[in-house]
Amino acid sequence: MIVPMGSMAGMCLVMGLVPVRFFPVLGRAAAAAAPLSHMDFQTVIENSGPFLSNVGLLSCIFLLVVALLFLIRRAVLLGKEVAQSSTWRCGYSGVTPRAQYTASSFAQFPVFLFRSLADRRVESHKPKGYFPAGARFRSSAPDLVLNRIVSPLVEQSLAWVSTLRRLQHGKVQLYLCYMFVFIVALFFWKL
Amino acid sequence: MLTTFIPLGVTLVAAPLLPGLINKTKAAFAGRQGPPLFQLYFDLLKLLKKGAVYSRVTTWIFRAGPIVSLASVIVAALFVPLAGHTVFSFSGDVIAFAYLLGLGRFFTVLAALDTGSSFEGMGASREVTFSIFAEPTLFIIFVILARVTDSLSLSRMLTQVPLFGMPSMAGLLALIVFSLFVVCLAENSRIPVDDPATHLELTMIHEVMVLDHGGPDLAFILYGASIKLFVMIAILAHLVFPMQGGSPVQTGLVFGSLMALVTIVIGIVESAMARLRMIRVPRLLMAACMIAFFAMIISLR
Repeated sequence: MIVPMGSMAGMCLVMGLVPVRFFPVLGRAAAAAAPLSHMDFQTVIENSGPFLSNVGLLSCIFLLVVALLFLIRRAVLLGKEVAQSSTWRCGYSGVTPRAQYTASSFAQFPVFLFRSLADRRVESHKPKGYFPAGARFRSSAPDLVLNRIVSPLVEQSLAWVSTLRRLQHGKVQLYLCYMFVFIVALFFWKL
Repeated sequence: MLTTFIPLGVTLVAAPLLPGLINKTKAAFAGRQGPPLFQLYFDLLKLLKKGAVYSRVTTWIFRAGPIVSLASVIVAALFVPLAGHTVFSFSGDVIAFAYLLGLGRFFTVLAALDTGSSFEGMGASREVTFSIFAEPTLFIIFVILARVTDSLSLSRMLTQVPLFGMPSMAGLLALIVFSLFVVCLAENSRIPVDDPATHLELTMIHEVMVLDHGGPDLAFILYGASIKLFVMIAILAHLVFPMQGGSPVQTGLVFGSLMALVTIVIGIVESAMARLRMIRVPRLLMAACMIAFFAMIISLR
């Protein structure tokens, strides 16, 4: 899994560093899909040359600055103690996998802000009494596009199309009748 | 050749001065003497002399965070003109500028999440949430400037804006400057969006994300934040008073005074206002976004 993902990430990096080399190849593929003539495609490639060169140069400058800063930090830390310790303890002491900061926690604030669009569902049983038996909290943000748009559309379409199933009932005589009707219909259509 | 890099040199050397000027302004409003103007320089030197402590749960992402975020703002600074002079510019660099700032933020957020701390995760969540509102505002402003100047280069947009001194464009300029000022406060974690002085994790945004960094890494983060502030204030200064070419000393003095003025205004805002409640911040940013949108409609006339 790591090798294919790494190779794709590497390709992205190379494309960012030398976009001039890759643009004609990718542009040809894009031109095949888009309604572009050969002339249009050539014009786009010629016009985008300076821009792509600058993007490549910018990427190289960025990597150079990153490498320079890495060397500076290494030089600064030379001969000094580089220690390993635990994460800053405030709010982190005795952490367990059950208390981890999850993806839904990360998305909680934006989901709250866009709650009218996000369809967030919360199931909460708060602890009750002095000796609570248990508590439970569960939140989920179901896929809005799938649940509100795609699924209802598919279900409705299936309901409509299922009416055609009456034609598929397994009686061979009626299938022969359909064939006869269509052959006659085709015969008249061709006439 | 060497003179081309003077704006970058000025940015790298003068950037830590601006937080000091803001703190001086705040101290003056509070009737205090305040920390020295060069306090951040002293802090950076002190941090660079220290060793480093890394959490055992962190990976290479945590160590790469400060370097990538500092590199991204340094490269973004190449596109921003200082007194009309730019180091590097090409048509479309405005997109690269916005995404370089985004890249820096992305790595800071990743480094915060890499620690596994819930508090730093909360800060990261808040940072990206507020950027949902700040980034469209920035892009709308760039669209307006691109339309007015007929250019996609940040330096041309800022040095050739025919807004200043034209009464018919005064309203448009005011709306753009206000929106960009709010974005500047949000992007640099200033009051009323965030308080760089607070050390209570529950109310922090940017500061809580960098709690686990120390020594040279923290120095890189503080230095990067000061460059980002410098870059945003330089854009605001150019927008208010575009300048191109001319005598380097004269334009440099005018530009420096404008930069100081905008910085002092930020200090005044921080002195006069309290930090907004976390839930109110998106409203402020939405308001800035809507104002920028109105400005875009006006620019379409």
